[in-house]
Amino acid sequence: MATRRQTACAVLLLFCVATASGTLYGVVSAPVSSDPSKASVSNVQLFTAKFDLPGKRYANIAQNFIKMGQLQVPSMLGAIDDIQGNYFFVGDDNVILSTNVIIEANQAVYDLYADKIFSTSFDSANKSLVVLLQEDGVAALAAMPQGSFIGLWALPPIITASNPWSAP
Amino acid sequence: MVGTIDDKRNYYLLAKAGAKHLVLTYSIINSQIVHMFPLSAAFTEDLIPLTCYLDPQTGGLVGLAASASGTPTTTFYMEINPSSGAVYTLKKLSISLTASAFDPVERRVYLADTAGNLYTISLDSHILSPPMPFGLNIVSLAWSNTF
Repeated sequence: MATRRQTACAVLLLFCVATASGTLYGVVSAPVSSDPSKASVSNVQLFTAKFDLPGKRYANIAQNFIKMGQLQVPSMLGAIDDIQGNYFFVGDDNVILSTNVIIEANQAVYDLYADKIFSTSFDSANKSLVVLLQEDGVAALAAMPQGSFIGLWALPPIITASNPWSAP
Repeated sequence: MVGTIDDKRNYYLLAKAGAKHLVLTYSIINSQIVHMFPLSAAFTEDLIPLTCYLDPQTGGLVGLAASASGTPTTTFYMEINPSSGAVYTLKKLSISLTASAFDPVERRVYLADTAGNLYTISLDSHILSPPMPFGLNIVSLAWSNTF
């Protein structure tokens, strides 16, 4: 019996931690119409969603700037500014878009004129979005505090902007 | 290549130099490479690095990469010591990844696949959860511990 009681407590504790630790956000695409005959790129909307886990539900919190078309590689990138609530993601032509998850509205579009964006991370210590990118064939880091561009640091040449990890 | 940052402005990269897969630590403050090690794992197929996360509890780097070939697309999950290059966990996940996010408190990675499912994988157990179907094409994910 003691073992059963301990197990139940452990499960309850895990559940409480899971619901209190944070929130999962995402950019999702869904067809505007359920009519298969209208299936096309222009029939797709993109929006920022808030996921309810593990309830298998989501809430549409903002239609994105790109209401049709497709996010292009590397579309899977995303980072949240845990200070102001801006969710940054990468859209077509390597522009960075942001949705504020507090006011549930789109905020801005930033174009770093990068050939390619590899990663987005939020630097909490400096309240900046840090972007790993390639520009003119050189790998570089860009910092964007408060959403404004301030600096670009070229990485040492040994850090090649190779992708994928295939054999040379 | 992919990368992520810590609270001391060290930027961690999974990159490639020549034929070697590397893990690098680059100090933004000093504008220099602090560590650079080849990964200890020998990959038998071409990979496309997708993203990486820093585990604040262990200092390890969690990397996700896709197989460049194969059906269905395989996702490689790996845990790397950025101070040695040792790959101490390497798992093949039979999902076609479209997006991911990391919860550093619970130490779990959220994964989305092309079928509109969400999964989690714990950094402790390395067990992939059953799929949670949302029925949407998830193209980006991000985790917030605050909002």
